[in-house]
Amino acid sequence: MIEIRLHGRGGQGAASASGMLVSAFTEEGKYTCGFPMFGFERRGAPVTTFARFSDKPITEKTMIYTPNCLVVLDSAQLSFPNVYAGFQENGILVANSNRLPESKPHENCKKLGVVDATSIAIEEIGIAAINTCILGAFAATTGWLQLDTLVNILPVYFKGKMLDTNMRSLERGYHETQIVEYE
Amino acid sequence: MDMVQNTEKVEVVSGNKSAAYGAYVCSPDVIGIYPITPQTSVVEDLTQFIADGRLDAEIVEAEGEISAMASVIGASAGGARTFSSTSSMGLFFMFDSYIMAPLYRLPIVMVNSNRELLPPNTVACSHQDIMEVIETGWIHIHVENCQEILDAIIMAYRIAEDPEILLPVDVCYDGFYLSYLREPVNIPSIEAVNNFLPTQDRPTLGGPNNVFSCIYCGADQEMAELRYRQQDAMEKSKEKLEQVEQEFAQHFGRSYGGQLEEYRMEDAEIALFCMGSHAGTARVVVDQKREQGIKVGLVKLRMFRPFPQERVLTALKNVKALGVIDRSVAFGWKGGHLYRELRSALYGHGLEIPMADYIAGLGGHDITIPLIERVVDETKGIAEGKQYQEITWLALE
Amino acid sequence: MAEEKTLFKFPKAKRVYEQLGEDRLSNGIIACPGCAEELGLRYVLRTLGQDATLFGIPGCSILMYMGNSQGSYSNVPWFMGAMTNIAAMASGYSRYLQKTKQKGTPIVIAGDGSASDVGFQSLSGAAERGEKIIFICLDNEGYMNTGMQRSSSTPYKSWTSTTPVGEFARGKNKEAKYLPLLMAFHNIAYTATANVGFLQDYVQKLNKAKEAIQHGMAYIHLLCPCDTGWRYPSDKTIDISQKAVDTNYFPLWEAEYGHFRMTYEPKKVLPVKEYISMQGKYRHLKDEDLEEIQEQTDKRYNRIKALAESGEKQAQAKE
Repeated sequence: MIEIRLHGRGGQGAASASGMLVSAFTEEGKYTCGFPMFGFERRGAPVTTFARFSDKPITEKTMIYTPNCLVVLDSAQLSFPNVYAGFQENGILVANSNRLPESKPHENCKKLGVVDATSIAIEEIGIAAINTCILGAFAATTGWLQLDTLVNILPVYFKGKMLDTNMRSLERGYHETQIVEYE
Repeated sequence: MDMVQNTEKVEVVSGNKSAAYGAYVCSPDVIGIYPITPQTSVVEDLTQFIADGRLDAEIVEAEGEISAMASVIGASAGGARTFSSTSSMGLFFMFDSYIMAPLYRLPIVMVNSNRELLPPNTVACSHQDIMEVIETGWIHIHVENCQEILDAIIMAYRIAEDPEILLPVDVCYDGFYLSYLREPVNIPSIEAVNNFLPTQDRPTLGGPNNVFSCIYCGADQEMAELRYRQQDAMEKSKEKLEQVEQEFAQHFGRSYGGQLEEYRMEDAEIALFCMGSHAGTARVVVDQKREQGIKVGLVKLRMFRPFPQERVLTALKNVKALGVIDRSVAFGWKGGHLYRELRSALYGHGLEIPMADYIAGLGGHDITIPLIERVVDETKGIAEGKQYQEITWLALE
Repeated sequence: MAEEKTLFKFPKAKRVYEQLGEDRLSNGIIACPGCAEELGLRYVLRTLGQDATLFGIPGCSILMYMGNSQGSYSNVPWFMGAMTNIAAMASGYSRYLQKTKQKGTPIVIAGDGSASDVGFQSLSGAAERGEKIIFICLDNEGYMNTGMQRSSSTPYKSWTSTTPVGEFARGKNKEAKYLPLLMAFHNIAYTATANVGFLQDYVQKLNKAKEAIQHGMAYIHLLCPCDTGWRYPSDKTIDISQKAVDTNYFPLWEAEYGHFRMTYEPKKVLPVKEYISMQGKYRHLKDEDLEEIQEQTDKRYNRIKALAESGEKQAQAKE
């Protein structure tokens, strides 16, 4: 089983990003589930959401303490130690940032994918709703999902103009991600 | 997206949306509803179904839970199939109406998203809300995942509307852990559900040409008879759930064990006992401990009211020690509700198994794998004759 | 008075009996002698009983049609709810009738204690949603079935068993909540005040209410003098009812979607003292109390009258 933890802020779409991951893994025939853990809904508050996928049925209903993959939607949180809590060895980090970090972000980080999702989202969608862009980066970095799968499930979540803009944001996220592998 | 559910499909939905779909495929006539975290999106989804023309139902967007439930009571008394939904403080504000539904023997189905009470200010998960209303005459079914929410709602209508039962059913799922959990859920077609749930010839209590009045009943034999019949119907609902589950399995290919599910209990020497979403986490722990050679099983309770004493006695007959996980506190009694129920179901009925109660998961406190591992280890100790503490508050240790 | 302009027309009969149907309430029911509620209820059933379903609550009124363990006192279907939720209960039933295109008239019969106190939220919610129900509030100015306790509809200075008279208190020290006006301000299809001393007016309003619930909610506020609780001889119920109107203490009016109209106005307005002095519950009143009550009465009447006049002006302006 692979466990993915997403860190964002209210308004960035971390909750629906976890939902889109579940839809995409379902489309690829995996067992999967995801959920957000938040209290009162407030724009700007830190939000943590979770997603799991596996070849076997998943029954646990706990939060994720030992993630294989971290998706950080809010670049400010890249420097928060608690974001990396329980990060497993050979872990994959997908981050929204406008620059590559100078050093390895965490000792267990094996692979890093960085995309300037905020700029892309503002250019394409007009607001900093970065979740579709970061999912493109996720697919490019991890290889756990095909871009086509994400393209297929996007119409479930968006309609009309929002679908077009998010689709461009997703595709740019996939193609513009800078990937670094650490020894 | 097909606007009307003509074919079976798999959709990734939250627990709340699964509940809304559960109501939707059963084609209710009248829905009475009011938002409260964490069940609010049930209200949003159902109103959207109607706005999109997918669901032909009257929806009473009530000004409070008391009226939400009252409106479905009035409709159900007139012969309607009805649905409602609430959580926590909403359940208590609903209470004046909630208590009347079983006394009138109305086949209402609703969902409760299990949540903590105020104060202190929290909206997080626990079983404290639903445990405060266990002796109201409602049938309470607790579930473990999103698919089970939808399936339990369909089965609930079959049980509620059965002429031998005629009691309301509350399908209870954990707030946050299930209400917002997104999973792929198999949504059956309305036609398939109609075949399972006959809409024709279902018992109706009244209507414009049908007097459904009940006359005044004083401290008389009639009152005792009414109450006795109600209790009798509750007893019968246990067996009815087993029958309905079998039929449901034939129609839809899924089943959940009826009143309770025994997981790896065949040769179990010790057992975990719990209900709700964390039963899923307990399964993982049971599997891990089995690999280590510990003969542990899990009993997942599904029907809390009526309490399935017979099935519990059978399931636990060979067990040497029992670890109970409670997500609520029975104030004024030292432990939690499950533990209390189990003691009265087992003790004095030939099964005085030593058992320990673990109060966990209050206020959304995560019931993690290590916590449940600890319960298994300590229960193993009890079976080996070690000293043990009767009640443990896991979050305080 | 200006020519009647109403949305919900119902031909005015010369005599009230021409509009009445079968008496659906048994004789010898358990109301006190002289009970205004009994008369009020009997006329509801004689006017609307044919396809009515009653929604009642614990109180005097339900005992009149519920019956005892031998059988029902009425031959209409009825359902009992709680004081807190009865408007919503009738709403749900009404919605089911609409969904299945069945005919029927859901009628709530509730006291002022339910309507203005503990069930007010439910009533207000149903009004806001425009539920197609007739809500009849039997206003006997207190909780009479449980022994004359105060409600928010109990008038100023009135004695009740919970607003007693003693060295430091002389009855209720707050004015009554004037519920019919609050209901009219919900902009429901039809609101009216009525009174068993004016039966023709009452029956007319019941018929209009039935027509109004094709469009939305109807609310009728029926003043029900209670000889037991108000402490007057049981043969004075009709007198008191008529005096309530003739002193402008209880003006008779109706409102269609917030357009007010007076339905009866006394030719000669009597001082409110003539109404108050008939009732034992005001026995302790002093002259200054009566002056205050007269002031309150005039103020209430003038407010309604002004609303009715502005409605007429608007109607004329439209033409």
